[in-house]
Amino acid sequence: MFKKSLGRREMKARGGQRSFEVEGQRLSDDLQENIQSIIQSFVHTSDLGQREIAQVGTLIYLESLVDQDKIEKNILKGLNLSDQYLTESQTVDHLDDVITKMLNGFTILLKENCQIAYFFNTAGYLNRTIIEPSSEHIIRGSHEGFIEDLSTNIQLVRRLAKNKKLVVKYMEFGERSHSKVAIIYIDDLINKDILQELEYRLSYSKAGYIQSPGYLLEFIEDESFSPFPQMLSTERPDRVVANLMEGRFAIIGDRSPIALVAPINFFAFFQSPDDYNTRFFIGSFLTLIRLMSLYIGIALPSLYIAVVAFHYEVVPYEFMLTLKGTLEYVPFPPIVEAISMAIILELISEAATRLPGPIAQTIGVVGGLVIGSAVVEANLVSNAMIVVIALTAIASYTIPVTEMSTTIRLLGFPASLAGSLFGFIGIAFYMMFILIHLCKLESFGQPYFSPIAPLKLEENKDTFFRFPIWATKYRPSTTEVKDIRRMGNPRGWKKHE
Amino acid sequence: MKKTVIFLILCMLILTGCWDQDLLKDTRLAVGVGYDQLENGELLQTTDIRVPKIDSGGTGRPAMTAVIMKSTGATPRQSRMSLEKEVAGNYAPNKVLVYVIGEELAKKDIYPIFDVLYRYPRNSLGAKIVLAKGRAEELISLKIVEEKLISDALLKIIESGEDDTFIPRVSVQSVCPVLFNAGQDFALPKVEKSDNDQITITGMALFSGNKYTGVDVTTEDSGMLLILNNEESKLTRFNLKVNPEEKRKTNQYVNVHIFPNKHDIKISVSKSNQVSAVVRIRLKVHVNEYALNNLSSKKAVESLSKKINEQFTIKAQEVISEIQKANCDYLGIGRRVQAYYPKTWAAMDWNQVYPTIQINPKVETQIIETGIIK
Repeated sequence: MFKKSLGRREMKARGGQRSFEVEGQRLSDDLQENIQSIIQSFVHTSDLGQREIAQVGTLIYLESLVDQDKIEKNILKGLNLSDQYLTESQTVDHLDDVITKMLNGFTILLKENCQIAYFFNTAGYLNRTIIEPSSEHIIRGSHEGFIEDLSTNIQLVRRLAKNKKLVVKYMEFGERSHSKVAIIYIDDLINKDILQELEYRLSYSKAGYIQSPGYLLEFIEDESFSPFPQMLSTERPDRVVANLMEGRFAIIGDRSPIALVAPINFFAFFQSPDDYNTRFFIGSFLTLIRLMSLYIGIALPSLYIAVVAFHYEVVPYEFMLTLKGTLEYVPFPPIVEAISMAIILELISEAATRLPGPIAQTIGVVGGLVIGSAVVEANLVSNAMIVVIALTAIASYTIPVTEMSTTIRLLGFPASLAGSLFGFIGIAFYMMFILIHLCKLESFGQPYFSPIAPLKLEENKDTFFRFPIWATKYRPSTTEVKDIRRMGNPRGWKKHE
Repeated sequence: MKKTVIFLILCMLILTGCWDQDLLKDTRLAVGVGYDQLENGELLQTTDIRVPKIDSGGTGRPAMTAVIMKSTGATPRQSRMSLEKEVAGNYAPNKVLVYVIGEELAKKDIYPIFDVLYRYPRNSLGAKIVLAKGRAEELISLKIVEEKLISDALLKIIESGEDDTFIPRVSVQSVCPVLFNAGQDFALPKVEKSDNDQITITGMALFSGNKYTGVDVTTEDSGMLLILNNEESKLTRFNLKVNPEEKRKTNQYVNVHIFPNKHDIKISVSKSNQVSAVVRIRLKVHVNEYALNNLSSKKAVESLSKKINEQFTIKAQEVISEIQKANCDYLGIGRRVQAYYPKTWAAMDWNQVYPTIQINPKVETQIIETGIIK
């Protein structure tokens, strides 16, 4: 499955890696010295809170990260009740660990003549409520979305999966910021090789600061120079769980509502949870529409360019006259028309994304109506080109995952270029190029374009059409799941009627 | 290595530029072309060019107009070259709808006109070919017919004629194999400019070899000829005089809509090398109009069927003798002789033999529908 043996790679990893780690400083016997070194570690920051407790020691914490109520209720009350409240299990003895704990909202208790520090979870964050992710709206189905709190996100996943084999593994990344990341998978489904590969790749992920899983994604994805996303990033717990159940893993970072799912295949980007909550005719129809929009999104502008610049014989006579009429007074070659219109469109959409709602609507009106009609009136762009670009944009927006939809629009630019240089032949070659790339691409060692390449007819029940759910009795084999059978025979009752 | 490859790819993309682009907006679209013979032996090319009207850019529906241009030359290509000097843009014959050939020109071998169409790849192979009574120039110079620009109107007229089984479906592409085939002749639709500046289909112009014979089959009979050659189209209707004894003229006729469902040509060669052919057709008949009788009884239907059969047989015999007289082997009997009796074929001069052979039409008719009145 993987090209090199893991053993050799591991050795290479240990030998060739520059270590970021600094030799940890242990806590000393002296209370004041310990407090001073903590203060120094935090460079005398003003939000460093201290509270002395008679006969016990000193509590030290970051005021901005803790909930004062929790300190009062949990620690002070507990300490008053009995000395047994302090347990050895909740201790650390390295200064670095103390700092890490404090950065996570823990409160540290330092005692005189004691080389260990006790910690208490007093984290007090403000979280936003669970709402539907604005980038992945659906009509029917769960409207839950991830939020910025890791434990809430894991809770959402666990509540949906309700599986004792669901494993959550915490990892920390970033030498200077300690971002917490959870890797989630279902132990009796996921292939161990995939997991091993993931851990191996993550072992290289050493950086000063890892802001979001987006950083990790770029560290561990197979091909950085591919236009296609090789990990599915989603804000929907139902999507994550559905993928976990097919033997995939998810990476969720703290303070980020995005989950990364891999190994993923191309067609997953064209599926929406909606499809599975409606009848399969509707689901299939919508999937087909989306795959059609994939083709429109990439090829329509280039086809139009190729037609008006090379092969106008292929369109019907009357339509050709209409095209000629609209083009007659446009001073630019079609490629300039197309690229400039596409850029205008991207500008409008980018402006509308950045601005608050009510102003964004104004942008839509100004951009869509005013620019659109004025540009045609001034003969800068032909009517037909406006239609083509608008269709392309709408088509690309139907793809449920934003990343893929932008990729599709991006792929349209070289296609237009190929169409304007070489006509239909250019487009054919460009499409072949994309297809070859897709066939070769891998996501964590698994074929990205499966089940088309390698072709597995049996598994094409959820690519172009969505077959009824009871027809998909087996999980996709590309993830090499341990248990291939997804369900028994849910329609068995039909025979016994 | 990698850098060289990238450099080469960049060169390919950047340096090609737009050298072989043929922008639609720069073209002058020729949509109808007419050829005539001039007295000095040169060709006269009359071209209908589609041009957007001035002020019709930007928003709104673009309006088109027809510009008629004339040029001369020894060959079609030469006349095109002289035309290219005049037109404002690239002369583009890739979307020609109709080629119109003048009567005078068609009487000579017409292949030299078509040669360039088959040689040069960007020609319109789907274009219709028609023969104009008189000169093609007169027809194309009409410019507007029935509120349509000339070539568009001509195309529509031809298409509806084809649908009604008046004229064969002939295009530049379809006529090509026949032009080269000694065992089969073709016919072109014939159109004429009527007195009130309209265009009408007058029938099929019969060709012998690649030359126009000067004989036409009128639209009355051309349907029969097409059926005999298994070329029926969407609608095949005939008005047959079945009751000549009736006083009122309206009562003499029956109008039928036929659906040919069997077609077969059998060739036989006797010991004395006499070629004869039997053309067998079976027609299913819908009676569309028959004022005399409502055909509710089986007997009436049977007697009508017999009369219809007679009329069809007479029609078929007439049209066959007509094409034999013109020496136009439209049914491709020569090709069949060539295929089944190659020795006989090699021994005779088909052009001499064809008018003398026996061709017997055998028509079977069956009335399957007499309409919704009972």
